[in-house]
Amino acid sequence: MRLLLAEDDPLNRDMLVRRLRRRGFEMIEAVNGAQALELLHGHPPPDAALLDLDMPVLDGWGLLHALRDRGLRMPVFILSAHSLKEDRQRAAALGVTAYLTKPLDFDDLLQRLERIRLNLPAAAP
Amino acid sequence: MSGGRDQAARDAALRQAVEHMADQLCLAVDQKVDFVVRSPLADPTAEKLALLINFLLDTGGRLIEQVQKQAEALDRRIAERSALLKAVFDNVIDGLIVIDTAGQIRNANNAAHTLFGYAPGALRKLRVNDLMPEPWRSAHDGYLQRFLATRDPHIIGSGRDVRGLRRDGSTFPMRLGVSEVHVGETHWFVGLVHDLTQEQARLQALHEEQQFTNRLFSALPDVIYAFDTRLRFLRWNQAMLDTVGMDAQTFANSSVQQHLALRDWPAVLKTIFDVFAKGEGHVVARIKTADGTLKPFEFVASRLLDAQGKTAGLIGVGRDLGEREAQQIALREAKESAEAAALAKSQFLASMSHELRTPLNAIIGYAELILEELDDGVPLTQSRTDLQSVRDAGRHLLRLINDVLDLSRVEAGHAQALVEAFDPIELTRSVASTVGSLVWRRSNRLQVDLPEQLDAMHSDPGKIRQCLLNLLGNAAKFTEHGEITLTLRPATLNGITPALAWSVRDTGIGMNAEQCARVFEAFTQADASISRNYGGTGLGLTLSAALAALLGGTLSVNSTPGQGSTFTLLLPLTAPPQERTA
Repeated sequence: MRLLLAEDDPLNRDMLVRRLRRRGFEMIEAVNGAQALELLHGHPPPDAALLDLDMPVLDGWGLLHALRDRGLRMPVFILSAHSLKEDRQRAAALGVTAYLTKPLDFDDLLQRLERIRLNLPAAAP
Repeated sequence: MSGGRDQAARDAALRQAVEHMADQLCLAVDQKVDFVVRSPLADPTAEKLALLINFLLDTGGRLIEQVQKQAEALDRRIAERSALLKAVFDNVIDGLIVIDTAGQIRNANNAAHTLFGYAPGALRKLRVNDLMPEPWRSAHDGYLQRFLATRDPHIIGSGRDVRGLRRDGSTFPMRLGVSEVHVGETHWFVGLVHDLTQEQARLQALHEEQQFTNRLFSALPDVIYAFDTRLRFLRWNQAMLDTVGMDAQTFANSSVQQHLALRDWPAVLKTIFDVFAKGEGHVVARIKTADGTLKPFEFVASRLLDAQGKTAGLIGVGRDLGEREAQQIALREAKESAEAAALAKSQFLASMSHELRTPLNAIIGYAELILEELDDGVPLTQSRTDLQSVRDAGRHLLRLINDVLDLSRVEAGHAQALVEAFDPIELTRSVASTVGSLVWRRSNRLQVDLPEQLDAMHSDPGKIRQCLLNLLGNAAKFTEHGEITLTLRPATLNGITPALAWSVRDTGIGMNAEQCARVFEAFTQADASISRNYGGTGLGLTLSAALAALLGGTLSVNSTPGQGSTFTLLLPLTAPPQERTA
């Protein structure tokens, strides 16, 4: 199962990528929305995306719109240190699968990803 | 009128012509006689003498004919000139009166007769003082006599404004110019009379209009003012002076801005430029009154144009909106600032929550990762880098918490300036010496520019050091291979209070106007990755500005993108007295 992670904080990015790789996920890591779009270009879409909101150049909201504009309908998880109600409502309106606040409940994230893995048409490794 | 002079000129010209011709004639006769007498074949016969006599007669006749022709041509020219002069004399709009030295009128033109209400020609029978009422009547002969005796030019030459007396006894204002004319041995005076009735009526109307406007101006309870495009006062009324409690002299040298509430100035300035551009505008603003209170006025203004149609300034009227409106404005402002404070507080809390959660996420995540690896039998030595990350994120969190606590202490008024006397130059030198490694990290150079000597400062050296370290740290972070200059100079605060100005100039990335405007707000680094890339908490400048305010001064910034920034810390030489709080 392939996951996109867009996160500008180097510590948080490194930590999450390594923890998910240990669980067998294939990770595509980007430091902002623009780099994420570059990495996806010409490759099969990931099975899910994990997006930070505050990022330079192109932030999480911008990346979400860009993904949908390209017809990419994979489940999207927002991982944000913002715990504002407005952001949650906005995410829900945009069809985001879940809005998870930092510090992250890693087990909760794993369970949600596990559910997606089970629903995939061709079961991944 | 000048026939005598023309006649004399004519006579002189004729005399000259005749003399010239006589000379010619004599010359011709001399030659002829000489020829006849001296001829070698000379034989003065009767025939030759007859020839000579005929020649003399012919020549004389021709000469007389020529003299007559010249005399006729001269007569014609004199007649033409006389006709022209007479036409001018008769037709000019102003009155012309010729008098002799005794004051008897010798000639007067049509206009003069009309002006004084006489039938044509009737003025010749009068004396000039018959045309003047008292006191000029008695004085006038004296003037002429005195002039002739002393050549005192008092009456002759430029015009005087006097009154004229008409035949029907009525008088009128006139301007009288008198010039002296000589013909041969005779003195004449020519008076030029210009009727001032219409001018005086116009002046009178203008004067009355001005009096009316002035009375209206000062009687109105509304304040009235006019100022030019450089906002210098041109006119004002008594109500304006009474409202601000100034005399005219002080008000004339005052600025528009100093009479208005600070908060209203941006709106007023915008309205002023609207009026200059569009012709009119209105605004509600508060005037600082004589007793120091703020009174709301509604101002209506229109543009003043100069003779070329260019904007010269504006004239405005302000109406006192009264006590009720003042209270309402005060209430509305209190409500607005309370709302703004509440909004700022919740935004601050939301931002702070975000800033605290980010390092916490790294701390918890790395700890969990290390534990997982331990469970899987990975030796702890391999986790050294991850443990360092936990420590770094923890330290960042601590800095953040300390800054938040410092800031809230200052903003809640719980911080105290620990005032003592110290040498500001020594303090600055010591701060500069501790930032060396910070500056060198990105290959920057530090220039320190200090005056030779300054008076002792009475303020809080610890807090000043904190501000300067913060400013130098920022400059070092946002500059690479550049120069950072720390300057200390004596200055004044609000133009009066003795102060010191520290400026920290860098040659770094700089900021645009919008970034400059928000740079002292909490958590507003130009983008969210800056705190990670540059390691700040996003509170340093907010805290420094709050400390500057605590010490009675200001922190300001001036910056251009790509050309670096200059932060200026301006502090009074003596910190304001500290209020004792819990």
